[in-house]
Amino acid sequence: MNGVILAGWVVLGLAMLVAEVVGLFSGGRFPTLGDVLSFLMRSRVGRWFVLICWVWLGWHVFVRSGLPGF
Amino acid sequence: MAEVRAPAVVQGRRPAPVRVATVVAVLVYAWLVTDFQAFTWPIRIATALPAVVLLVLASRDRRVRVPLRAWFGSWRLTTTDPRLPLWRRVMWRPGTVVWTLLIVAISAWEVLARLHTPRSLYPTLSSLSDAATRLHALRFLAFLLWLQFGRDLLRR
Repeated sequence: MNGVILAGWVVLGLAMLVAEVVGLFSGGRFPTLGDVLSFLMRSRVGRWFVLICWVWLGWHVFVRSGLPGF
Repeated sequence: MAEVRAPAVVQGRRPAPVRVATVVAVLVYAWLVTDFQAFTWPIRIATALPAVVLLVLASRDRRVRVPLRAWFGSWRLTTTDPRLPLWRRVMWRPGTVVWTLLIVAISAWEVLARLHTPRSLYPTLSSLSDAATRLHALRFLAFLLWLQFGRDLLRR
């Protein structure tokens, strides 16, 4: 199992990068991550969900823990 | 239908001196904040502050949003032709499939890593980011990126 999780993160990161690059050069035929976020944020519920995810991301990276459920 | 516009503060249309002062203030704030240690109250408060500001600005955004039911309807993941078998009624859009799979895979990988220890063998996103942001300058850049990402989200 040594390194499998890390390798998985690398693969997932590269896959996201490839999907983003394909989206950028597809002329609108394939969505970028920005398109996905815009689509999610078209509804009020989706918008708040994405914003809460943004807060969670900052908390996760910079605070790393501290509040229950965070 | 009336044109939908984000509030001026969200659009960033402010006089140049105000813009420069804002940028400098954000840079100084990000530099000071990223000097705090993780797991401490100063970093909690300093991270919560821009989050609260963004959420307040978001709550002031009165742009019309699509109702949830209509939004789900806009997915159009299936056709309604009852003559087709179920698997052929699904519209396998590459973008939807790829991004859904990626988001699910990342979530699953994060949960899998969280359920195991030690963290050195089972890194989570936060432990990876911790390793990547050991240097203050990199942590500072990451904080700026996070703020910029939030600003970008406000405009959507």
